[in-house]
Order: sequence, then C-alpha cells, then structure tokens
Amino acid sequence: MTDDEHDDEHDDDDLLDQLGALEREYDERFPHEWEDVVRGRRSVEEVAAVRRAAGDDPEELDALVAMLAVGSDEERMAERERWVDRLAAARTEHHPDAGEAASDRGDDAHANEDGGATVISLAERRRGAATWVTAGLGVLAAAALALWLVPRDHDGQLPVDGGASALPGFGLVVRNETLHDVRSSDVDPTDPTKVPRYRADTRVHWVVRPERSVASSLGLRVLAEAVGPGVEPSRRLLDPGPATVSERGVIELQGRFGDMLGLPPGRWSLRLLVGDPPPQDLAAFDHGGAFIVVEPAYVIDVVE
Amino acid sequence: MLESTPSGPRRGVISSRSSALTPDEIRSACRGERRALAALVDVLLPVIKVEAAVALRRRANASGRDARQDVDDFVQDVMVHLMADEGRVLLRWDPQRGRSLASFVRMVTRHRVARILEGFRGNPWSSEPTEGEQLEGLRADRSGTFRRLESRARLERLLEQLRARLDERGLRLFHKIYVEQRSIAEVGEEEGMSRAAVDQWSARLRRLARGLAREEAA
Repeated sequence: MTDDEHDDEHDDDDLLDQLGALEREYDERFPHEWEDVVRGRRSVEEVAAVRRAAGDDPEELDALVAMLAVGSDEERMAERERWVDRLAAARTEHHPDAGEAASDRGDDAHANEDGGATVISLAERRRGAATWVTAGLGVLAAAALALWLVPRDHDGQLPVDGGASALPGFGLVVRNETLHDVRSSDVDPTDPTKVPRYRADTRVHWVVRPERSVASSLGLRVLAEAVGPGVEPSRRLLDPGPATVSERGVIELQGRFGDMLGLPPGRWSLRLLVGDPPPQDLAAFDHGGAFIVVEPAYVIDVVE
Repeated sequence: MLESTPSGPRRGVISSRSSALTPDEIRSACRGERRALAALVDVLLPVIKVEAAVALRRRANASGRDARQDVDDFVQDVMVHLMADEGRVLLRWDPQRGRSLASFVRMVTRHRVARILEGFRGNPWSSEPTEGEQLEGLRADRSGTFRRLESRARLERLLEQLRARLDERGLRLFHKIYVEQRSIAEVGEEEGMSRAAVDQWSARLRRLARGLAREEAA
C-alpha cells in the first residue's frame, strides 16, 4: 500500500467515524417521546413541554404537534382501525389479479433491497396467497399514479349485493393521472380537501378487481349522483363504453373522461355497478337484480 | 438516549407490546389475521409515524414544503414495504440479535425515508432525482475533500445520502461498527459473516463514503 493509499484510508475512516458520531447524536437527541403521543399514553402538551425543555427548535415543535396530534381517544382508535383496514385491503388476496395488468404491459418488478413499489408477478401470486402489494409512494409520485384501495368490507347505504350472490365483491383501483396526485391517504374520499378532479380531457384508467376469480360475462355501468350543499338531487346511470374484462373477471376502463361519462362540472358521487348483465337504466337499478354495487362511492369534482 | 416515561394507561390507549410480539405473531399479521394485524399496527404505527414526521419536518425546513400532507404516505409506504411478500423485510428482525422490534423498524424506516427523499423512488420534493451511479468516474481529489466537509450541514447531508445508498444490511453494519463502535469480530459473529467478509464490506463502505464526500464537496 502506498503512502497516499494509507492517507486515503485514514481519511475515509475518519469520515466514517464522524458520520457514526453524527448518527449517534441523532439517535440520542431523537424525540422518541412523540411515539407515546401516537400510542395515547401521553398528551401532546406534556410531550411538547418535555421537548421544549430539552431545547428543541420551537418551529419544529409546532410542526410535530400539527403532524402527530391525533385528538380524542376515539379518534386515535379510529386511526388505528383505518390502518388495519388499509393494510388488510392492500393484500393481494383481496385483489386476486393485482399486477396482472402491469404484467401484461411488461413492467413487473419485484420488491428488493432497494425497496420501492412492488408489483407482484402473476406467477408469484399464484404460488402464495399471503402476499402484499405496495400502494407505494414511489408509484404515486413517480407517475402521478392514483391508487385507491377500497376496503373489502363496507357498510354502504346502497345494497352491496343487488341479488347477485354468485358474484364476489369488487374493489376499484384508480390508476389514472388526475389533475393532482391522489394520495394513499385519500382512501376517505369524503374529505373535501382531497377530492380528485377530472376534466373532460383527463385520461381515465380504472381497474375493477373481484375479490376472487369470476368467470362471467361481466358488464359495468356507473351510477352518478350530484352531491354537495345546495345541489339539486339528481342521478344518472351511465354506460362508460367498452371495457376489457380478463378471464379472472378484472375489468379495465380506459379513455377520456368526457367521452366516458360526460358529466357537467360539479361534485359527483360515483358508484360502479358490475353485473351479468349490469342494470341498463335507473328503473332496473332501483328494481335490483344480478349486479354488485362497488362500495364505497368514489367522489370526484368535475371541472372545466 | 432520551427515554420516554409513560404516565400510565388511559382509555383508548394503543398497547405497546413490541417485546411480546413474536415472529410467529408477525407471520400471522402478514397473513392478514386481523387481531395480529392490529397488534402489529400498535407496534409499527407510533415508531414509523414519528420517524417519518421528524425526517420530513427537518427536510421541510429546507424545501419550504408542508410536511403534514406527506406523513401518511410515507407511513403507508414503509408499512407495506415491511409486510410485502409475507413479511419478508419484517421477518429479518431477529430478537436473538438483541435489537428490539421497534428499534429494527426504526432503522428500516430511516433507511426507507432517506431513499425516497434522496430521489431513489419518486421523491415528491425533488424535481431532480439523484442518479444512483454518478459516483463512478469522479476524479480522485486528495486536496482537502474532507476539510470542505467540516461544515456540520454538509456532514448531515452526507449522512442522509449514506443512509439512502446503503441497503438494509449495510445500514445495520454501519450502525454496529461506526455508531455503536463495536468490534469487527463481534459484528461478524452476530451477522454470521467471516472477518474477511466484514472487512470487504468495510472497504466498500469507505469507497462509497469517499465518493459521496467528493460529490458533496464538488
């Protein structure tokens, strides 16, 4: 080893020692007390006071209070249940064809040490049911891909099974680019600050997945209801046009929003109706029949 | 390390039972058994949420972005990453190695958040993703590279990049050798690696750190 190489190695070790010391300091000063706020063991005020006394930056304290304050005990437990629901909904067995469309497009990828969004290959999914799919930030941010995972069990006001007991439940995955990113935290579409917006020229890519494979000549309609304060109640049953249906019963809709649904500006609550056949008009919908109502409703804003 | 001192249970308190969770219970959760899943969420959520919130807040200072809206996205990303493929990442946690589940999850979260924020996977805060292999071909510079890194801010930035570039095993080794300052022999024994393998890894780490330092100082 030359003298220069010795110097390099010494410099490198010195640098790593500095980085190690910095990480040690980060660990030692890390405000773990906030975890007790999330657990509901300590109040926000109590922990903020402890951290203030420890010399934390006041602006950081304010920001963490805003980010980590959960509210009442009931709200905290509700948040926990939401996470359990989200994770349960993300399981592949709830979306038996998850990844099929991606596989068809040749963009399969596997989870690895690098992390990132996971798209499980179809073959891999067939080997094991207990597989998880990432509704990942990477996917969301990289391609403005909206991925809306719908919990399997939902107590809706509309009949979930319109007499179609032979059909499984379905979930909607929204994969199109919308006017703004739809985030994974948008599983509650009733939050008015997070409602996705669509224009006539927005490219729609919706995937309706059955909970288990279904071999049937499925069709799809959309029940659109105008919602919002001061809005005259109105309903429309729309045919979004041709959809592709896989052998396993995965329905894919793609096209221009204006061509598919042609809704005027305003807030709309959309419910997808899957059936063999689906209801052809509102009277048939109200009468009931062999169709499934995909719950919960997907609330959108249509803008000019 | 600052330790929290719980003031006692209250109604609606999420239980903290990381020490009681076993790999078998984790497997059950990853199979979707709801009770086990809820117990796992109890352990994961506080750790991941706080780790992500602190990292995002500190990065938000520089970006001017409001971090609140992103916390849930990062939490979900980390949770699903941990549980993907029947809990492949989560089940790397081995209680026999002395690290608590919470500590393991904290390390994975720090790594995962750093990777995203450094642009490896769709960083929402950066329009210029970092290229992974820009280090190759950097001209050797022995004329004071590290002196220019004396600034603490630069050192912090370098640490962020190092966290992001290392894989989870690499981060674990970095932590044991340089943060916990344990002996190579001890680390090798714990990791099931020969002395030569640990030395080889150390050499790679030095090269990586040097390259990052030159890039940062450029």
